[in-house]
Amino acid sequence: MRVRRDTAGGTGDDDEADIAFDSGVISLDSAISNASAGVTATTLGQFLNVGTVGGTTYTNPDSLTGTAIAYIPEWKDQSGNNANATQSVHSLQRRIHNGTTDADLQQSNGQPTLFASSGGGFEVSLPQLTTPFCSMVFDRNNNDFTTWTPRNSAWMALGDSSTSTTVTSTMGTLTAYKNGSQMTITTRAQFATDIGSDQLLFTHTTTQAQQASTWKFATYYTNNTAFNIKPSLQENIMWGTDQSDNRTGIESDINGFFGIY
Amino acid sequence: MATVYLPVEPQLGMTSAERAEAIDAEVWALRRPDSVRSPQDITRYYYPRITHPTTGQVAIVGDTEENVRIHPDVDLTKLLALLPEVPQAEKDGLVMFIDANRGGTVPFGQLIPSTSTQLTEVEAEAEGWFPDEPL
Repeated sequence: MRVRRDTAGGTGDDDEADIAFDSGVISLDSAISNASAGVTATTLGQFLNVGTVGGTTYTNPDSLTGTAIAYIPEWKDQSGNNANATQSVHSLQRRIHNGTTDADLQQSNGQPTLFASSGGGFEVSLPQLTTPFCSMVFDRNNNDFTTWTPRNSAWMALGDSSTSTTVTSTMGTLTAYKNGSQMTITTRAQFATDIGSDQLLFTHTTTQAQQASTWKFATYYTNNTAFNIKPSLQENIMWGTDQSDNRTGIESDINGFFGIY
Repeated sequence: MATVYLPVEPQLGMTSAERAEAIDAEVWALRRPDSVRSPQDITRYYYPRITHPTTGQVAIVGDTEENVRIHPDVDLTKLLALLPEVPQAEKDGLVMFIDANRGGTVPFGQLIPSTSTQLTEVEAEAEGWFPDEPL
């Protein structure tokens, strides 16, 4: 993914850099590359000047005056299709470090997470999806939420306080699984209640093919922050065709990594 | 926080959407001007924008109380060129105000031109900017 550091107007403010996986995860030891001019840090911990975390002291080669907050303008696609998800509006970006000195990355259940204080989701360009099939790992607060929105007036799964039975819009019929178990969907309010506020693996698919377009995920299509998934987002995989036959294997792999249930 | 909706008129051969995007980018440039920005930067805009569901007009959704950081190397040339409807005297005042606050902050509300329509959330809703809430 790509990180923007916020130094409150100090040295290095709003510089960006790509960060790499460190043994399969993002960590403060992750190497950085493709950074803004003047950046000499080589790891994420140095880039943010985090201090000492887990017995490792990160030097401050960029001479920041404090620990930077880390925001995520880009979540890079790992599929090889270059479908990178971006958020180019600074005030809508999620963060992965809250700027506290000597503190690790923000985490949920021991794994790094993209936290949304008031920010939103991401946009991504996708080809035509015959039968969109998606697995996500997130936890949310008690706000309304939506998963994917492929175009105006459409959403793939939405929960709020409404008694409406329309949980999708122009997206066909929703089939959803929470932690490997199929959900019974009646109303949007019940759906939101059933999703709960703990970390979960949420898999869903619809029957409606979608044309190529810009999709948003973890936010409503208008960028309405009331419909974000809060506070964290850890995994998001979208297939263009139905993967129901592979669902249990997919969920087993993801749960094996995150240890959700 | 005081949310303000700023509908942007088509001007200079640009649609409302194009001009709103350009202005939004120049608001971000107050904080991160072209001279320090990298080509790889993903972050390009300061505020979200919304599209009116029937007219197609675009509004910048700002916060009048937010303190916008002003980079010491800020260059207002592009921003001022995007505001042909603003009287020159007001532009001159904006330049002086920004120059006096290089390296500091200014409330976004004090950057909004007098010629700009400003809508509160209630006013924006009344003018039909959000009829597309979930049905």
